[in-house]
Amino acid sequence: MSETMVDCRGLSCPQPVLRVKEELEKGAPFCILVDAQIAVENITRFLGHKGVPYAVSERDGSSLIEVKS
Amino acid sequence: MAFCKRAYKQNLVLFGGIIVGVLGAILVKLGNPANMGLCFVCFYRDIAGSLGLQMNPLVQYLRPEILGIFFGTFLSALVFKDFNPRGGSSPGIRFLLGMLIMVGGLIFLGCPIRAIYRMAGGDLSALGGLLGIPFGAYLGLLFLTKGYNLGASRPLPRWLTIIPLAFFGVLTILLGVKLWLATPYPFFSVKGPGAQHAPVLISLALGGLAGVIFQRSRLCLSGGFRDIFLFNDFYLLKGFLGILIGAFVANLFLGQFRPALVGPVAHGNLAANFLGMGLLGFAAVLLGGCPMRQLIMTWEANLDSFAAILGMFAGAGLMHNLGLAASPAGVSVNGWLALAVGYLLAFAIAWVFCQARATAKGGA
Repeated sequence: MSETMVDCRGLSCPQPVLRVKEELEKGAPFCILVDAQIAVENITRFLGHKGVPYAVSERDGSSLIEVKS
Repeated sequence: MAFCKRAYKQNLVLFGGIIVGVLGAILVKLGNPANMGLCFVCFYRDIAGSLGLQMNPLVQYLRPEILGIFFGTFLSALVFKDFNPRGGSSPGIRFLLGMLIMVGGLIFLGCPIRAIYRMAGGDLSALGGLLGIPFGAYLGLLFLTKGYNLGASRPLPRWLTIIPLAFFGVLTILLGVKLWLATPYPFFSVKGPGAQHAPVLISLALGGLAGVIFQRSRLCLSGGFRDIFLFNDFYLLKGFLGILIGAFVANLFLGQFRPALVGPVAHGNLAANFLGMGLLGFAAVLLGGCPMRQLIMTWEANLDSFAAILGMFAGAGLMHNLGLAASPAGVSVNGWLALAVGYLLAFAIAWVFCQARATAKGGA
């Protein structure tokens, strides 16, 4: 996979969303790795607001969010 | 059906807020101090007093709501698999930020939830505090967007989760011993706000219900303002609105809505209310959640949040033992000094942990 991977595991709220916002501004597709359900909810809500398509899957006990952008 | 499901999901936090608002009004009707159905600052202070960390005889009680919220959240976190043991993200700094939350909260006399309860009960002096929350959240965000970061937490072995469990388990046992054997310790106030409380089992049960709602709805007030400033997202703030509506309507029905410039267990110094709640909001955003969320995250087995909770107990002890906490009489000179020191420390922490990330980036 050549996409950028943003590792947000262990970050306090709202840093995962801030990192996603930063990455989104670059414009390229990327993946986010998070390990808290609340971070998944915050990030997907943010992406939904922005109208950005995404897909959530499980990977080694963490959640992987693929942002198509 | 799908529409209903979506509407439920999009408004879960609003419904949660309404129930919490009504719960608060009921707890007041059943004996809790006015506009204090649930208050995470006041209740931590009362528990700190009950344990002997502060000896103000008017505010000592082992608030069963907090223990009820424990059982509710813990079960909810287990059932919904939000139970995720972790820690190691600057717990010492989080302890200190917890203390700062109490400095601000005990100058205002309440947490963000009580600020809404006060407003819903007709206490107009709460407005200063309500305006202080976005001010504090904004200060925190200035640093968050500049790279403020206390470091990532790490997964912990499951057995370490026994620590917060043991702590709150001991509190529950202490409460039981006090009730059955009428022991002198833990200390319970015989007069003042500490002596006003709903029946213990009802407090426990309603606290448990509130815990499930807090845990499931992700209600977070400092987070609500944070999301508005950062993303123009009003979702979490709906919870705020829900509590206000729920508590206001319930107060009207229960005959508890009494409009006044300054309500009970409050003071009317608007500047102190604004700046006190501002410090609480600032510290809460630096921590990643308000005093309520720290408790919920503790019971999702986040030991960093547990450090913040212990800091809040310590902060309450310090504020009362040194005579810094505000009272219905107002804020003392020393109270103002404590608030100033609180802001200085919060700015120092925010600045240092921005530099830390910048240095790490530069060095990499």
